Amino acid sequence: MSHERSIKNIPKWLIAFLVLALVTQIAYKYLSHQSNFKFKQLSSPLPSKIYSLLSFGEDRAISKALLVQLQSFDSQDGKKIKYSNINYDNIIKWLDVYSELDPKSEYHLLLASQIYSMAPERKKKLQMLNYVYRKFHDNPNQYWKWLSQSALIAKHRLNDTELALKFAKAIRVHATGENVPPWARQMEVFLLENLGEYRSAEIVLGGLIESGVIKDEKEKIFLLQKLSELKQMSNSKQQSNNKQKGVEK
Amino acid sequence: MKQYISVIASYTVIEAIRNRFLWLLGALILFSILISLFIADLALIEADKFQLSFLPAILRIGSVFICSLIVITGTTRDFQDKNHELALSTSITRTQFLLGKLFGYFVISIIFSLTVFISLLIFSDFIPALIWSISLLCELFIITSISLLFAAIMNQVVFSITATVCFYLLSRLITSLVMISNSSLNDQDALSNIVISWIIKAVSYVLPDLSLFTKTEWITDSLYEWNNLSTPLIQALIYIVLISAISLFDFNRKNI
Repeated sequence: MSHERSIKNIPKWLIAFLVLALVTQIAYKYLSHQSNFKFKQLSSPLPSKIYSLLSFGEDRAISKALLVQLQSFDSQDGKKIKYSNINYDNIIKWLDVYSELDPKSEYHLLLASQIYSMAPERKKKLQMLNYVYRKFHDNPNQYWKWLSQSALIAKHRLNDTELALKFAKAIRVHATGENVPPWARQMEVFLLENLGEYRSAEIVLGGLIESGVIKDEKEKIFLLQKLSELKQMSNSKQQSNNKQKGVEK
Repeated sequence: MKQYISVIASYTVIEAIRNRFLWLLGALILFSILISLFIADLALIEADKFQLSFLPAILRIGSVFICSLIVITGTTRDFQDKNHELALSTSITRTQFLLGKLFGYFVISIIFSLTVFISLLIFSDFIPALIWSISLLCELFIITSISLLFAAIMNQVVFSITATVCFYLLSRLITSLVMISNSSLNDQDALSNIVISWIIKAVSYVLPDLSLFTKTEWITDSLYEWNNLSTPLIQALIYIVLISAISLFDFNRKNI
């Protein structure tokens, strides 16, 4: 004997009732999605210890879940939310919580330097770049690449060479590991040269060579050549300044 | 018809009482209050907010879990002891039997919500506690219906509880899952992302959005309005009818 009776034994009213109930459910959900959209602002996170507790010690798992939710926040009810509308102070708090739960990850710096820095407002861009600068000091030899990208964003998108110089100097001073590529250490020098600050560039580059950080012989040769070029530029700039002063007198 | 349904409902409630569910309810209330008092004691400031943040959350999860266990174990026992065959050998129809069981478990849900409401009044104002408790009742009605459905289909306690827990978690998280699948940082043109996004959206249409129910902020931040109840009430009504229809459909197909 079969465990189930045929569908023909089911009362017709019950089948109709079931179909009607299912259609009502789907229609209700569809209409509630179509209703007036209310933007939900990003709230402040709880302390990281609470999330650690709630996840029964699975810090890595909950950190990823929280970050995925954060990066999806700009899509609400199928609508795209501009970064301009999102509270950036809270974004920074969420990124901090993530880094506490997963200290070895660099994802928060990726989001700060590459995603959230795309906001059109200068203030928000600066917030993100300064956040990367702050976190860089936690592990300079690992995080240098995010700060170097932030330096490029500061120079080319914000036209703030002073800020780019500050970031580049931090990389030169703190990111002294062997995995840090030469161009990152030398970034400050090229920025100074770009600014016409040949004397300063000469001093920085001289210091870099003297410090013994440069291990590669080819890199040393290249930098020594660069140093002599900077000296020449610095001297010619000094001479032209003196001529101008002479003319003015 | 109403007479048979009320008899089965009352026997369902009596069975639950004899299985000491009131003791379990009391233990849940006591445990929740003690934990929240302990946590409030640890707080340096805003102790009352700490307490109000934890107490509703623990009561909500505890009530949902215990209610679903009562329904699943009771129904599974009925099916395994062939009590349903005994009842159906009389003039009681399948519809009356199932609806009787459902209403009996609804009464248990009402007892839960009422007790939770009274215990919340110790720490919270009347109106927010009332709104929150009504929403909890709607949530318990949904969980009760779905637990009965799973128990009737699967006839196994472990499978039924697992299915109910999965349903509950998915219903609580479905809004977040839809948001994540629509994220602008995903590759929107990839076929896999499109398919996944569609599947998640389709699932969201047939699940109740429990993240809109029974929010702790209604009590802690006084962010309550009577309007907050419109979604829980409407969704609970539609969903109970839908799940009851599915349960009746399945029960009518059983060869008893």
